[in-house]
Amino acid sequence: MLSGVLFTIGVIGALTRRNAIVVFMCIELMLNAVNLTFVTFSHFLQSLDGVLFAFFVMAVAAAEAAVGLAIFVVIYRSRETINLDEINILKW
Amino acid sequence: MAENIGTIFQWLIFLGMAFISVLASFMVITRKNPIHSALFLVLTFLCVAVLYLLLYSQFIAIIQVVVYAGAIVMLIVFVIMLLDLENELRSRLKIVYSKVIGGFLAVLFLFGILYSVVAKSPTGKMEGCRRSAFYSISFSFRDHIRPSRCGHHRSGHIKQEKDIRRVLCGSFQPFPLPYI
Repeated sequence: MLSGVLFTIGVIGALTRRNAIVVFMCIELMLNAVNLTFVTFSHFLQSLDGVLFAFFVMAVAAAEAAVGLAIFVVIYRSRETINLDEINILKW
Repeated sequence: MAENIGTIFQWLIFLGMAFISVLASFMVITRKNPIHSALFLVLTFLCVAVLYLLLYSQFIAIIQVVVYAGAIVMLIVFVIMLLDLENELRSRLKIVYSKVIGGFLAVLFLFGILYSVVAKSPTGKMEGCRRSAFYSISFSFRDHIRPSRCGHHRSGHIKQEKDIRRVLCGSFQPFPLPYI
């Protein structure tokens, strides 16, 4: 229940904010909520799979943070903005 | 009595941490300055780490503090420092029609999650799986309570071992794939 609320706040933030870094933080928030669900279920089901999966999610999130923030720096240097409404070169 | 107080204390800690984390994550998405958002994000991560400690998974809690609060937020703060966002700070946080639609969809999504947690399944196929989940929950509670209650009682030990073995090696199956 709590992780559902946290996930929803992350979704609201990702959908409504237009600053790329804040959207990125909201994605981290969603990953964290899913991790909380994994660990809770692995505790209540007395299995170690959830903890293992949460560990992998953390590793992937760390790698993703490094790559994504590097992409933000490059976009800022070429575009002078990281407002997501103005980065629309991939838009159809 | 002692484990009763412990349980109440755990509930108090859980409720406090849940409240603080929801509040802090709400502050993350409403602050205009990204630095403030990052600091509230650290607060949220620390609260979730305390929740991991309550779930007896200390390793994940330590990794949470080190990786999220240490590494990722540090990277975010460094990038905020590198890109000076003064003009973005000067621009107003304006309400656009699409934002309202996005927020409404997200709230709908929240109700979907809560419904899937609370509701009974229409087909009844989920029942067995759900019952087994409750089964193991009740067993885990009994495992926590029993060692202090039947301290040095021999048959109690044997029964407890049997219970643990039934939980660990029983024919309990996790959620089948099609339901996910």
